[in-house]
Amino acid sequence: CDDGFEELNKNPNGAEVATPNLLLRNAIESTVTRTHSVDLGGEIGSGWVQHMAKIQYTDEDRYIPRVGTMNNTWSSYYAASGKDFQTIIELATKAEHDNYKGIGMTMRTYNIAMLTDLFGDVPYTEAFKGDRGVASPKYDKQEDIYPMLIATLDTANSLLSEGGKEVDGDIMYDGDIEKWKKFTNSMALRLMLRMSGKVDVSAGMRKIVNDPATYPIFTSNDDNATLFFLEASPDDHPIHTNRQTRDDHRISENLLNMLTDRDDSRKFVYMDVNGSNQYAGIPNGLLSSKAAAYGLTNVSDMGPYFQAPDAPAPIMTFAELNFILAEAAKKGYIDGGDTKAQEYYEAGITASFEQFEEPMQAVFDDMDGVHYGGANPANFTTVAEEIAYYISINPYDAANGLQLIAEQKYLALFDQGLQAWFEWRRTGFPVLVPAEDGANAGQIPVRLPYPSDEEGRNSSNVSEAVARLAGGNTLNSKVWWDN
Amino acid sequence: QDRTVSGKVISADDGTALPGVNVVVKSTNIGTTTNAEGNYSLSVPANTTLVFSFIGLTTQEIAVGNRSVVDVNLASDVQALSEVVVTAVGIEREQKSLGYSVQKLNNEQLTQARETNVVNSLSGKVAGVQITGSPGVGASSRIVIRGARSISGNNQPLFVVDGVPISNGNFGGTGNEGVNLGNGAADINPDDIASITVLKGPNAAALYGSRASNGVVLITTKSGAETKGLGVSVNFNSTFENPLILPKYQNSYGQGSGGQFEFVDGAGGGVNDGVDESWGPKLDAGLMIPQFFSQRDASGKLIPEPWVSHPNNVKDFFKTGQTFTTNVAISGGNEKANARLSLTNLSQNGMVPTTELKRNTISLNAGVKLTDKFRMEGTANYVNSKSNNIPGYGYSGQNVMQQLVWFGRQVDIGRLKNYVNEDGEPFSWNYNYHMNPYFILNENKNTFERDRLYGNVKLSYQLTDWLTASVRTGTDYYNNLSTNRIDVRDLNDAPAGDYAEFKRTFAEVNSDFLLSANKNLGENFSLSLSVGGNRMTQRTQDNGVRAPGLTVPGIYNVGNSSVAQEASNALYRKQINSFYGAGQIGFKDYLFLDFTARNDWSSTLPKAHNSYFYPSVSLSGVITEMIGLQSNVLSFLKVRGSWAQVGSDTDPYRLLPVFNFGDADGWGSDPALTVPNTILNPELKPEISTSTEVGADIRLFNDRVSLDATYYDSRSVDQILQINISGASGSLARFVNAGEIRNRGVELLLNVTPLKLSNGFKWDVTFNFARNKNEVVSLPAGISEYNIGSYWSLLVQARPGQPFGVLYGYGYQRDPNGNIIHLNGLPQRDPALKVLGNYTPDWVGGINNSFSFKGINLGFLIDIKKGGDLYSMTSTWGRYAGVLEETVKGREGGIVGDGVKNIGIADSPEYVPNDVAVTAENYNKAAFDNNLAEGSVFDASFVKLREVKLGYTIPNKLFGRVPFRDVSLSVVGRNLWLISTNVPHVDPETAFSNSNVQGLEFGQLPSARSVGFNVNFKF
Repeated sequence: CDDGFEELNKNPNGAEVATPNLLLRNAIESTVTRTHSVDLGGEIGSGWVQHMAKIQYTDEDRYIPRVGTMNNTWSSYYAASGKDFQTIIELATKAEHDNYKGIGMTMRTYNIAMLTDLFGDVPYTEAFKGDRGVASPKYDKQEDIYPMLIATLDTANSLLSEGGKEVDGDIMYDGDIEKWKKFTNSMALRLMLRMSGKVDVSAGMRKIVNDPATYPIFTSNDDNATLFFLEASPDDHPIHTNRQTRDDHRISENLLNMLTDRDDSRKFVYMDVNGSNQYAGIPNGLLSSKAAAYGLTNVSDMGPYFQAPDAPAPIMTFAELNFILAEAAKKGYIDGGDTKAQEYYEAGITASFEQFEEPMQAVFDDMDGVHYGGANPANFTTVAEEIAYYISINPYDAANGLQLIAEQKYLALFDQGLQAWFEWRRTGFPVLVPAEDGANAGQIPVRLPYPSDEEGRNSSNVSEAVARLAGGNTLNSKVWWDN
Repeated sequence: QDRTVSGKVISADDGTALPGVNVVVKSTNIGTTTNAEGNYSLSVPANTTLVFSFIGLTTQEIAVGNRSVVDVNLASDVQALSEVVVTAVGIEREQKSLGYSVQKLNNEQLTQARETNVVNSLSGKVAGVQITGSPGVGASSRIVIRGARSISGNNQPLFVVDGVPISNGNFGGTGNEGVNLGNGAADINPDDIASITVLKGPNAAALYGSRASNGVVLITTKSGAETKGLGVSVNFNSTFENPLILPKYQNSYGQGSGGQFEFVDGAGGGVNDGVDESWGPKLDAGLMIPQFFSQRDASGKLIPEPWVSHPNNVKDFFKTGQTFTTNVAISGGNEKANARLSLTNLSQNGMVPTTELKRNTISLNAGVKLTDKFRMEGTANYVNSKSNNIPGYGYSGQNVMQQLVWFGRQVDIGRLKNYVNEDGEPFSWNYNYHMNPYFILNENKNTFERDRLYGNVKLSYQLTDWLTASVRTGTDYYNNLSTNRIDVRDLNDAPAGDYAEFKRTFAEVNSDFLLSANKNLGENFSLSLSVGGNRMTQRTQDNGVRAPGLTVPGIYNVGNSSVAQEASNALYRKQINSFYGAGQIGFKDYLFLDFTARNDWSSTLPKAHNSYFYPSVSLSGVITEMIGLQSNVLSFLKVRGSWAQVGSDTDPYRLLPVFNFGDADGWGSDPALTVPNTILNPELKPEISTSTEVGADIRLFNDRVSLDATYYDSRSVDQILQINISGASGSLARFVNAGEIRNRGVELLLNVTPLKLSNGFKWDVTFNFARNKNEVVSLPAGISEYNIGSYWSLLVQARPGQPFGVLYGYGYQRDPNGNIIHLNGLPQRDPALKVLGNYTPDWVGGINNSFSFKGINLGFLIDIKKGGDLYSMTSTWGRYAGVLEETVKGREGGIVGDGVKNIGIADSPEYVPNDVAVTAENYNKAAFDNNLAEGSVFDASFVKLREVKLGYTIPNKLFGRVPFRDVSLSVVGRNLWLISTNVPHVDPETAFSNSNVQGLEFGQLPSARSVGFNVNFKF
């Protein structure tokens, strides 16, 4: 009819083509934001594993997660970030840009790994194909997903090359491809250890550990996969965003007890003092009325370091890698036995303390040599002194090696509650007492139920996956690696 | 031999001259029409008979004989039900000739007991129309005619003013949180409306095309045409509003938890003093407790104060709202030209302190006869609406009602009026979650200002005595700027302060032409035919800027941002081109066959499917005239039937994907793109609604009883749906053509005059009833539910086999006998979601009684809605927080929940009656929380006394030479009495917006009971 009639329907509000660098920023941000979100990372992860507890509106802490948490987690890891990494992989393949492709594969793997560790069997081989007509992807078994993820990381490692094309928009490593390689291989070790109860992972782990030239892994905290959020909203840390308007979370009594028992100076970083200048925790999962009776100002909150708008948000650290290697050595998956296990154990503790060196040193400086309670006879002056002292009073003991490694990993994974929860599920350490007023038949959950959205949108596939769960779609049905 | 006959035609009803009456020599095409004074002059053969006819009046045949002057009184053709109604594209028709149902309201039905939002005035008055108003100044109203027709699209009818569509869309920024800026039609000034005709469904509206599938509300504004000479009319209306219903609170226990409370800092530093709930110590029991207003003693400790109840603390928060409307209109006309200029000022102060609305309207309507055959007419309406504060809505700290649900029941609201202390710091009853409500209302203001211009110009030319051509162009343009402020001292929503501006500029232009022919084909047949075309262009530009933190307190300028500013913009454009035609064949003025056809081309659809054609046909017959059945018992009987189809397009940009920029997607100042979460569809087709309608008009006992009954069945297929898909697909939704909704229903409109006395006393009863059976017949293959929206854990859905608007959520776990299962005394949640209700009502109706006697008239309207459910979060959180009256139960001694407990094992349960007592606090928190909706879904049926009017028109003769005429005074009331309801604590009639997401409530602003008076006079 008119010239330009069809032109009218051309959307002027977006770009018809995108380049990987423009997609990368948001894809990384939304991945890390979900992992560190208060509803998932904070209340499911840190809450259920008893790093943190709720002092008000305690439903989640009583194992009643909000419906929206499952739905948002699913749609976020898959659609808000996973699909963006998938698109980066596709664009990079076309442009023959191996570094973007490698980053895309590593990060897509991270997203899928989070999903399967949370839910169990999830769509993978048919995932991300909605725009090619697969609106209802089938669920793959976790035992099939894990090897595929590890193989993908191997491919990513071979694609990533310092001599390759430059990468822009990388808000995690600022284009440092060597660090991406280290993260890729370190994550492979994490996943191998996680399935090690089901599959012999010795060969895979040795391949990486014994060939650092081909398979570099984290060698210091500088390599940590950490996103530093920005000062200004909306790119500030999710915990900061939450604390602007909410005041529902406090330190778990369990964590405080564990730190106190070990005379652990990370206490000064992990938590703040209460209104009376003391450290105090609250038991997990109390009914609201009981929790409220503790009094908001009587219980310690998370330390200010974690509440800052530009707080770091790690998704994997050098400390965790050391504890992975310690356990692998102890179990003989890699060489070295208890000797190596002890070495990695101590390196893990050292890495964890050093990770928090800055805020810890600030506390020491503030205390100016004053003794702050506990059995610690030292007048704190430097973190380095404290590490040596700490290892001396919490030494590796081959007889309880696995428990000690798991407990130290647990303490090092503060602020990475989901990984701490996954590891607790796998190792059973530390021994946790279920929430007093928990609403889950006296058990701590070991899984997230499939989101209700899937029932309406992908019902036959989700039903098939549920049928494979011995205990049904509940908080108590163990995933494959946990059985 | 011809000779000249002349005369005057006057109305038999009021003696006024009748212009435009057809005067025709019988059985010929010789004829003329009367002039503005009702005079005619005609050259006629000898011994002829003249036929005097005018739409709406009884046709008279008079044998001239040898007279040269023939004066005629024409009476209203009531028996023939010949009220003239405006039908599609402005074609005037006698109601008796229509094959479908329309209903008309006149100005008095809208302006005496008036509503600020004219849409609300239709409630209970038009069969088949359901109105859901939202409370609060300037808030929106949802109007649905004959049920929801589109699963994901718009279900609001098209609003047409003087022949040109105007937008009834929202102005941006509305939703279930934030503020409610109203619906587009709310800008229409009731004082300027001459009449409203409701075209119900596709059959009546087919000619309006795509946007008329939900029916059309046709508004005709007043013109100067009826005025002779110069006239001035003045209307003054003043009403006073008070809350119709407020929640019933408990006044026995104050703030706190576990029976304990002591204020230290209001943020958790004392005993439960951060808690914003009322599970604290018993009130009025002689306790002395430090409170938020306590003074400090010499040692700096807060001095205990009496712990006493304040039962009216919420009631006292509201003030009497006031609405003043003044309209002055000047109109004048002669045979050449007519004009009406109207000025209206509306000033409203809401019941919530500081909330207000101002609206000024200038309306001009003019017509001029340039030559005998060439006429130009036009209307222009300018509306300026603004508010310095409209209330916050929904679950938001900016909704002051929120903290009256989360509340300390002992709080004396009067002590909060000074909302800052001596240092200018916020002063409140709680510093953990809530700002002082007066702080919010005085410092965190939401403003808007809207300039709107709509109107049209039309030129028509009488080509021959049977053929008219016209062209018209009309526009609806507005510019709406809304702002939201949060003071830097706000402790909750934005501790650094916040300022946001959102601007929407909207323009729609409709240009059309119409060629109309009217011809009598011999004595028995009449034919009219119209063909026309229309081009509609629409442009919406949205711009938003925001300062997410403020450097200088109190300066609301984006430049004052303490961090990076945020900005966003978007442009939407769309065009529809159309050709259409309509015709009618009449036989002997008792049988009428109508047909319409229209073809649209929409820019929003792909080239292969962007042209779509749809027809309609209808037949009506006046049986009483056809077979001479007319008697004193049966005065009139007409039957009618019609079939129609209407196609609908979609919104722009739904064919090909783009990567989105987003404010929140960038990283600092670096841009970022995201992969869109919705899969678009380059193969979209238009939605098609097909509707069949049959009906009858029956008048009995000399019209003392009349019944208009309609049955309709409409199916809407190939719906353009944005269906949610598994997130694992990498996307969250995709567009498809699928799904079907069926609406079947009956509409009855019954008018009865039970009493009509010779002294002039008359009692009329109008009863309307509409039963609509809505069914979502199918959704796309493999899709069992379609989410329209959600609130907390509850989903609002379309599910196959159920009416639109399923409320789907978590309920209580029950044993095989339906008893609620308790664990440790607490009711348990069933992990499976289930259907808890449905917002679509079973039927709606209204009963209007009016009594008139010598200038006095009294009327009252009862409005009824039966069925439909409401999910009330006021009930949930009010129970959870211990503020509602039900929560007193079990405070001493505990609650043993009604139901069972399992003493067997999980796999082999054995249920015995629950006997475990728990505290009232623990019980209510387990039974009512955001993850358990069942306890707060209520049947939202209601019966309301919607309107009462008592009016008196002073006889003009009393004024003598004083130049006042037609002085009428009335006392009016609206929403006076909620006669029946099943929803506790809130008005069952409530909505967050006029979208399809309905049946939800939280922190509702109370609806207004308004009482006032209306004065109307002319000079």
